[in-house]
Amino acid sequence: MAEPELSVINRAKRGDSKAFSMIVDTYETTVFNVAYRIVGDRDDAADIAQSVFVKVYDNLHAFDPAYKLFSWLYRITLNEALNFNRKQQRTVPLKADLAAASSGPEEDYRQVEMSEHLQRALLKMSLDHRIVIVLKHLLQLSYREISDLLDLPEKTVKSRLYSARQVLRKQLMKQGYA
Amino acid sequence: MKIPDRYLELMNGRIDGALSAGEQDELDRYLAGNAHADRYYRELCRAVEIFTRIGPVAAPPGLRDRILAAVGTAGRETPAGDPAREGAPSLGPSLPPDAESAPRRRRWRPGHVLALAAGLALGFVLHAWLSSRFADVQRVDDGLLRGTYVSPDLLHDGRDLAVHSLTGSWGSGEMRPRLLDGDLLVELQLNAERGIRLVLDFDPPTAWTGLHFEERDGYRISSEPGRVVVEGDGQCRGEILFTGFHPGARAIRLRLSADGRDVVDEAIAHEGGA
Repeated sequence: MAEPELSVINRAKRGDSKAFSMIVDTYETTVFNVAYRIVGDRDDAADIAQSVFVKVYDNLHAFDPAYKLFSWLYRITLNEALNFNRKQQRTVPLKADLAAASSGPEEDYRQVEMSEHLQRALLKMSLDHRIVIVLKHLLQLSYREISDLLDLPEKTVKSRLYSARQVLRKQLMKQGYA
Repeated sequence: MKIPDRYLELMNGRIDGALSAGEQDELDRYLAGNAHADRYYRELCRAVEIFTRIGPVAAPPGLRDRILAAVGTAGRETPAGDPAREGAPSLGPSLPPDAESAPRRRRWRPGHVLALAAGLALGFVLHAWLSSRFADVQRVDDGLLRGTYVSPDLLHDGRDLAVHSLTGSWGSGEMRPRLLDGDLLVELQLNAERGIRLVLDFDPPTAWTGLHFEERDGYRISSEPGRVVVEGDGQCRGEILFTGFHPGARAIRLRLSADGRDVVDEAIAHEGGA
């Protein structure tokens, strides 16, 4: 957003749909990716992303600008993804939808293939591990930001992240990747 | 061969760019003299690098339009039309369609009263982590308060909970919490004989993302992140909807004071009950 985020939020709070569209434009891909990496299915992730933005829209009036928008938005995304997982009690899909994600050229396909390796590895991890990995390496949040988001002490975030990385390494090695 | 925790910590610290120069040297020296650890470290780096190499997955085409269409319709109609929310206060239109600068107002609904409760010093403590299992319901009775601690797993299982009653010299109250599609709905009934002040502190403070309630004369409700305060006296009955309720919420601490004196505080915070 070229315009300061707070200004966009305030306009969106006042019902400016253009401003809300800017929020969607800014965070749509990230929200979708977080959801996708947690639930493992593109269609479900799209549903979750939609639900997240509907909640953001519905609750924007209650948003406290003392907090960062991304922090609030990511928390809603996590909640939605976790609620979805709980409802579905889903079994882990072993194959990501490769075809749907590929855009054609061989290099792209290779990227998608790597993405699939990653997705498989993530889905084999516990939810706790998966979440810290996604927050750290997909969103590139700091320990402090993860700590705030998950309401965990930083020390716990670190140790969870360390063990999550070990698990990720093992899973990727099993797939012959790492 | 087991790699000492100290070096595992340094490896992870380096991946996160959190090592001092001295720690970098210490790790380098260790890796230079330990082929197994060096290989492990490289594998760890490679596993993490995959994130930066693959970048984000493209969102499905049309998702943006779908979202914008949804907030234009579902955002207004879903709460009232969703049977799962039967009995919950309507969220109402998200933004007034005719007033760009008007903030959203809380609506009053005759017949239902707010209620937050006051008194309720319900002792309901949602302690627990996402995956932990507390199937028990603990009771506490300190003479002023009779309440029930409710485990979060009961909520998360989507079951309706028994009424939790509280009585004391200040009056009495009842609370019924239910989890509805990721939101926490708390139905409250209160009969306060004296002026009471109820403070609900959520742990974590960001346990919910939105708050909806209805007010009536005699009771005032205010909120700030992680906290809801209800003040007033008399009878009331109503509902509070905490939207986007965090499944990792650990606790709701209730502090009730009557005539300026705390009548419930430690009891609520005391997980063991009595």
